[in-house]
Amino acid sequence: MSNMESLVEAVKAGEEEDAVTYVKAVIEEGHEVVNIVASLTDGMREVGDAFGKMELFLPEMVMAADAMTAAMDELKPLIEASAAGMVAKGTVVIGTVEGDVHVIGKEIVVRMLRANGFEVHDLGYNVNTLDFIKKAIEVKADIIGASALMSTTMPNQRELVKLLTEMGCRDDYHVIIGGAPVTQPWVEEIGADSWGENAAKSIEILEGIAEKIGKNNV
Amino acid sequence: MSQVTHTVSFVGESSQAKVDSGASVLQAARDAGVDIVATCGGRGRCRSCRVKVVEGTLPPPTLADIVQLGDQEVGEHYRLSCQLRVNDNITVQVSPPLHETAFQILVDTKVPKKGLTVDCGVHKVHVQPTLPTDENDATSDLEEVLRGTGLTPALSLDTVRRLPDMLRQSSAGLTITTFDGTVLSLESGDTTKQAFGLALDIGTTTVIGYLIDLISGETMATVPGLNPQAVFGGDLMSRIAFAMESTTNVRKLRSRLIGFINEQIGEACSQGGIQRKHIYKIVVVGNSCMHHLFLGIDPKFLGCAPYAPAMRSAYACAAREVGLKVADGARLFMLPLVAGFVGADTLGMILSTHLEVGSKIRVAVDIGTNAEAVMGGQGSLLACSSPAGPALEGAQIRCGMRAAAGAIERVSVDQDIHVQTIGGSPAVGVCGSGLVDAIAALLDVGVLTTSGRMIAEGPLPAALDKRLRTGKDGIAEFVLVWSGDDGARQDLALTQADIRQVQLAKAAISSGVAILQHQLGVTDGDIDEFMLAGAFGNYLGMRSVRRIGLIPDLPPSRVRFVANAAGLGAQMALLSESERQRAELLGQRIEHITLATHPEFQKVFLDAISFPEEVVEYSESD
Repeated sequence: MSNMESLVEAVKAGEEEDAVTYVKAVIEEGHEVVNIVASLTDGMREVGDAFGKMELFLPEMVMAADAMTAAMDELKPLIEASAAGMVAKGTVVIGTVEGDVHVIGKEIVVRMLRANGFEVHDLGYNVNTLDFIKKAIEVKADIIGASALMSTTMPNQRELVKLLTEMGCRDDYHVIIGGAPVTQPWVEEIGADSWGENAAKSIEILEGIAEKIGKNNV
Repeated sequence: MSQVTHTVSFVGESSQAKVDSGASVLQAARDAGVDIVATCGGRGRCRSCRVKVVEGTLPPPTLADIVQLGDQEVGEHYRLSCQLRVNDNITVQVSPPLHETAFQILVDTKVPKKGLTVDCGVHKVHVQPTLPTDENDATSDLEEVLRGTGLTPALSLDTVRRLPDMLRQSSAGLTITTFDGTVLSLESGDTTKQAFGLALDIGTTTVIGYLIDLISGETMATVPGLNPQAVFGGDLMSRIAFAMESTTNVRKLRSRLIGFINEQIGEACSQGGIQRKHIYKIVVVGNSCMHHLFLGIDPKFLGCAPYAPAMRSAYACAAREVGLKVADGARLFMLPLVAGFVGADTLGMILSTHLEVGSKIRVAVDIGTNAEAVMGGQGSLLACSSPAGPALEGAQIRCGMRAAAGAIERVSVDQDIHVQTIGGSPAVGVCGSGLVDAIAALLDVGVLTTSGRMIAEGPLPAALDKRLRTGKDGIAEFVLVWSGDDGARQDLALTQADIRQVQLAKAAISSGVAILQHQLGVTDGDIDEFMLAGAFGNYLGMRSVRRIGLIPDLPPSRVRFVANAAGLGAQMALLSESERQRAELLGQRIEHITLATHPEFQKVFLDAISFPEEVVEYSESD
């Protein structure tokens, strides 16, 4: 197996130390940064697909995301030095809605997004609706993600969309919502843009959005 | 233009509903007062509210119909009533009708109340008062009745109104019932042998009433039933969400519950051959939401951070204030709450397991949609609640069901899989205990990896190999029962998705315990006793719960099923005032640990998703 193959395997298997070792090796071998990132991204996509088929589950996916992030950290200086530079795929403001303190699902999405090259502003939990919007305006976000894990706090996802509309900036953001009680009909009812059914699905959707807004370049 | 309305009829029900075009059949059922259980709260996430369309236009299935019901049931004209929009006059059959569904509800008739001295606070004394005779004597009927008893005359107005006639018409004297030195009621004749109490365990799913003789301590009747609020949502959160919609809904939830409990009291009294007017003391346990709804307190703030209850301390009032039909002056006692998600049921469990006593490390876990774990020892008493979800009760599992006739309750494996169903009926689905057994079996034979992936890691016996297949959706599944075997009408398979749901549930429960261990600095081996409580906990296979890692790998001698520990606690507080006072003190002692925001929780939870590599095999005598 080439070092590049070993690198991708290490990321897929969530072997953080191996990922760092092999990414150093492939840098040493003189591979183009663009190609390294592309290989890694393909690897993460495979992880996401396996998660979709439920062959992999949360612990494996989180480990893979962490290994990916570790590899990307090694590549960062090279990316910044390269002529093309690297623009984040998109800027995401994310948090768990007001009244809700459940974070595990949202934090997995955050790790996956970062691993996949998004700029993520994680507001944590029990986030006031207006604070989502203030942050989104401040960081010029493309995407707002709102998580609700309780049927009693889901109405705050509706509040978010409503407030965005009232403030006249609804069209500035792609609003993705998630959490165990959220359903596609709920997404439609409140006028959000997409349903992050699970972490892998969220990434898949947002990758698509990134392509649309044209920031999906390295 | 006026709104078009249609009539919705229900097979076997006399009432109909006229609803606007576009309303859901579930809404129509609620309007008509027809019970349809909507476990997920009517959001298309479960199949409990399904109905069969028998007359009227059959609309095409929604996506939720297809996902939840499958092609076969959709083809048989089943639809989810929460998704089914009324666009025509329509007649539906509710399926399965609530009253025909026999669930296993765990009740203990033989309650180990040994060692408990009956000291319930209720006393009855028979008196033969003399009537006031001389106008010059400054006296009254009441003073004559209480003369020499040393009692405080704190009577209800109603009793005082009846007193003059009662006194003059009863030749056999009067019986005074007191609680803690205060007069509760006056009755004609000698009824001193008629003193009863009621312990109530109000759960989200089940409501169990225990009618107890306050003199002998004997249980006269046990009446289990399904919480009638289930039609507004099966789990706690959907109940609170329903309450949040309007104060009318809070009233609906409360009146349904109180009405049902009054029926249960009637049933218990006829079983015990007693009159409801002879019930003088009631003790209630239940989770915080049920506690609030029972008292008519809006539970909406329990649904949002910081999930604060309206009150936590023990509460006492007259039973008639909440609408219970028992003795006029009967006292009602609510055991204290610990936190928004750790309620009086947990307190009842601590009371009956004596978790706070001694230095040994002891754990009790009540497994339900919310699992409460309590750890006592070394002078500490910690409690937490984890959202396990309904998977272990068979919900969100493709062929999952509650523990009812035909549910696979035991699974074993050798060269092939063997199942046992409840009542020996034809297999129709799998309930929690069967699910846990099945997963343990699949781990044992190597069809499941420790990460939870369903894949054969080595060669399998032919019979098992045939059962492992790829389902229609491309996802692995394992057939527990072939169509035709054990009377099954279709293949009953556990899917990879089912396994993942169980992993999340068991990780939530076991990580709750792990966080309590972390707080006290206690390893698995330090746990002297591990108790599994709750209706569900008692049906689980001891080895299987260890095998899947739901509980630590402890020798069977240290693991114990404690049945309905919460209900037992309520009975103890009913029979013994000192136990009830102990409960009040315990309420102030328990330290509540919030899991969701605990810094270690995420890591502990993710670690707990995997299954153990193996477990120690203990012999029977261990």
